[in-house]
Formats: sequence, C-alpha cells, structure tokens
Amino acid sequence: MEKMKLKMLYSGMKSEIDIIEKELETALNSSSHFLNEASLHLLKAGGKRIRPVFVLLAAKFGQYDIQQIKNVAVPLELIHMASLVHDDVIDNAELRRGRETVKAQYNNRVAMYAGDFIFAKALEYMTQIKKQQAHQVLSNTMVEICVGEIIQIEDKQVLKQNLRDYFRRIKRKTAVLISSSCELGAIASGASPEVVRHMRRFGYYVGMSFQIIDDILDFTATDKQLGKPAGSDLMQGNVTLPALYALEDDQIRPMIEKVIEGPITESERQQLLKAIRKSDAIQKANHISDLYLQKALKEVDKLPNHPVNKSLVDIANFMGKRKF
Amino acid sequence: MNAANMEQLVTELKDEIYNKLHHRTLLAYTGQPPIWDDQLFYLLLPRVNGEQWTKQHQVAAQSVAMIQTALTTHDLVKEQQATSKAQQLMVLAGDYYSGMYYDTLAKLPDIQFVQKLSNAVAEISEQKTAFYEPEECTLEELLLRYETIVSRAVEQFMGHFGFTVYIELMKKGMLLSRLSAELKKVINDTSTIRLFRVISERFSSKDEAIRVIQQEITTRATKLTEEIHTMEFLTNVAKTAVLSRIEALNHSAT
Repeated sequence: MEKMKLKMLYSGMKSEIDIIEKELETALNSSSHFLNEASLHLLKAGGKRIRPVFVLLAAKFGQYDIQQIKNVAVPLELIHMASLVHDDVIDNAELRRGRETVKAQYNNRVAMYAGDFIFAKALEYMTQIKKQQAHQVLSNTMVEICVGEIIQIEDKQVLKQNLRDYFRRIKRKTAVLISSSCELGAIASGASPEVVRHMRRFGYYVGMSFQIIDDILDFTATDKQLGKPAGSDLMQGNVTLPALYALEDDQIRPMIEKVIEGPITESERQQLLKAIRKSDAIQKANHISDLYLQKALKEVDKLPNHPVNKSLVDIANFMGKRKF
Repeated sequence: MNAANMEQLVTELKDEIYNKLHHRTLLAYTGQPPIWDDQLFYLLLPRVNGEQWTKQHQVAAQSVAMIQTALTTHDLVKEQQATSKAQQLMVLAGDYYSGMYYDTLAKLPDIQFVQKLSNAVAEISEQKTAFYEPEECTLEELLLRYETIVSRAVEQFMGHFGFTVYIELMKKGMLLSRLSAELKKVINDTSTIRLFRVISERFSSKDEAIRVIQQEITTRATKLTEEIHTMEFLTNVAKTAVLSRIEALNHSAT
C-alpha cells in the first residue's frame, strides 16, 4: 500500500527516476565478484529513493538538465546506501528490509570494503559537478553524519538524556543528508540563493519528521513490516523519542531500564511493545513529527510558485504520515 | 636537506594530519589514526629531491594520507562480531577520516584530485575484497594486488602533480616497506589483513610462508637497491634517504 502511494507520488518523474536507477547500476559495476553481488543485492532491496528525488525536484528551480543533475542525485543515494552497509556492521544486523545484510552475506570486513567502494563511487560521480560550494556542502554533510553516529554510540544505553540530545543526534544522523539533497539539487542547477536556503530548510524539517516517524514505527510496525524485530532500536540501546516519552511513565520505565541493562525474553519484548503502543508516548512523538512537517510545508510556501511545489508537499506529507 | 631533515618533514606532515583527524571520542576508543610513516616518506620524496612544493602539494599530500588511513582503519574492524564500543567506533573512525579527506580537498579546492583519489579508493577496495574471493592466483599476482592497495593513492598524487618519474620507485618501495611491516605483525600474530592468510594457505605451515616472504623481501630489496644507484633523477640526499630505508627493511627481514 505504502509502496503504491510512493509510486504514485513519483509518477510525474518516472523517466528521470529510471535514469537514476540505471545510473546506480552502472556506478556500482565492479571488477570484484563479491562487490558486484553485494551491490546488486542492495539495489534489488530498493528503498524510497527519497534523496535523489529531492535532488531532482530542487533542481527544477534552476536550469534543469537531467544529464547534469544525475551527477548529484546518484551520489546522494550511494552515500545513503554506503552508510547503511556500515551501519549494519555497527548494529550487527543480519536483516535489512527483510533481506540479508552485506555483513551477513559475507563478513564485516567485506561490508567495510563494500561501503568504502560505494562511497568512492559516489564521490567519483560528484566530481562531475565543478561548483566548489556543492563539494563543501557534501563534504561537510559526510563529516556531520559521522559525528552524529559517534554521538549516537556515546549516547547508547544512556537513559539520562533529554529531547535536545535526541534532536541533535537525528539532525546529524538523518536530517542533514536529506537537507543537503534538497540544497545540492538547487545549487547544481544554479537556483537562486533564496531557493537554496528554503530548500535546505525544507529538507532539514522533512528529515527530522521522517526520522521521528522511523523511530515511532520501530515500536508500532510489525516485525514483518520492518523486516527486523520491532523494538530493535531500544534493544540496541538507542533511546529514541517514543522511548524518551515512555520513560516518563512509571510503569514503563522499569521495562525500558531492563532492556537497556541486557537482553530480554521474547515475551518481555512483546509486553514492552504493548505498553509503549498503549501509552501516550507514540502520540507525543507523532505530535513533534507533525510540528516539523508543518515547518517544512511553510518553507514550500516561501518558494517561487512552481508545479514542483505540490510534489514537495505531497512527498513531505507522505514521509510524515507513512505507516511503515 | 639531509636524512634528519627528511624525518623532520615526515613528523611535521604526520602532526598536521593528526590535528586534522583529531576527534576526542575516536581518540579515546580507537587510538591515534594508523598513519603509515613510509607513505608520508614517499609523498615527501619529490620535495626532498628539490621539486617545487607549494601549500597545495602539502595539503594534497595530507589528504592522500588521510584517505589511506581511513581505509587502513577499516582493516582493523573484526571480520565477525564487531560489537564492542571500540569496534563500532572503528567503523565510524574510518568514515570520519574519509569525510575529512574530502572536506580538505573541497576547501582547497582540488576537485579533479578528489576524482583521482576516489578512483584509487574504489580500486583499493576491490583489491582488498578480492582477497576474500575464491580465486586461484600466484604469489606474484597476490603481491601485485597488495602493491595496488598500498601504492595506488600515492601514485595518483604523483601523477596529478607531474611527479611521474618517482612512481615506479615508490610502488616498489611501498610494497617492500608494507610487506615488511605486515610480516612483523604476522610473526607477532597481530596482523589483521587477509593477504597473509591467503599466502599461508599455499604453504604447509605458517613458518614456511614467513620464510618465503622474508626471502621475497630480501630479493626485491637487493634488486631495488641496485636500481636506485642508477636512478639519475634522484639527488644524493634523496638517494641516501631511500637507500637507508630499504637497508633497514632488509635487515629486519633477515
């Protein structure tokens, strides 16, 4: 159902998205059999392709040339893909989107090399863009993402943290790359500095809303929908927004403390999920996500009138309301 | 310029890179970035030999060492169960150093060099992965693969700045030097790269594999020493610096 909705949202850009998909395949072509296999596996797993789509949409505010703009759209998706491959090593994850991860297929080391290979291919593409500003934005983004992940590891299993810590973390972990996708699409096409600024902000707010929804879904979606056990984030020690709100509930708090202390049984997991779903933590987290979504939509209002604005609004709404 | 000056330049370059890659948490959990001194030596060789050397050369040299350090850091991630905090941060340390290399070149800016180094990184990653693939190859082919891993980034640097005459020397020198450093780790059971395991599988024992590699290092070092004596593009200072490095390797191999 959700995939259908997304397909409909992208229907106006089908030919351009097809170009990006083909280009992704070409980009990941390797002399190494394992890297080829891993890349194909990653591409087949699909994904929402949100980042390249935002690059394409943002570029419509300038001199739009798909042959040029693909050199930004492709690397943004590749960087996202590479960071997932490395994240699976960090999280010791066997499954992603219901499929075996690269590290499960081979081992951690091959996953490291696969990620490095994909990062390198991303930058090779990006160097077709000669604007220094674009490279400064992207390089800064790559560093910020790492810093965000380092903070996430520092904050792991720490219950004494506040909302600010959480927002600071997800900004770097997720929002920055979506924000940069919007910003880079506008920069690469030569859009005005105002458009660049509003697109950057739009992407940031959408990214924040998107990550909060992702963190909510980790508790509310089924294992099947997630392709991994629900509640995985918390079981790995990541205290996300719904968990932070749930900690305020005296009955749920001891359950969360137990998860943080060590492995829990399947029935304890089910009990925890049930309690969090029933509490107002999900509602509160949804409210914050909505606030970010509204801010994103306000940024669209500040953009020049363009047919693309509707797509931006529709995709933002989809991301902020998605069910899994 | 003399040998002491050369070491001083290597130390300065290393300190500049340490400063750029400094991150409090990474330092606490993963230690100092694993920068290769021998790579810095060969990066600086054209400068020692009297080639024109500007700020751009220095920053580009930093970025080469930064990306190689990023890739080397990922060699320290365990093949299975990298679940400790230190191991998780090892993954991120490599990514962070990689981001810093790009950031450094984006600020310079030298986008063309980003392209050349990215190309090298892709090739190095392919060659590292190939050690895991069930493919029959000779010792010579394995060493050639390793040579690419340890020298391709510097090769791109030398090609980019017109120092092509140094490439062959650097490739042979880097291979010898890295082989020797890695051999010591194999002897101490601290090697984390796959190459020596693949080599060992070809021989009846680990000791035999070590003997073969030691012999390989000695033979190659002797040959390279002879070649260096005939390299007219090298000044006496540069020649002495390279020869003393190779001599030290030869001693440690026997």
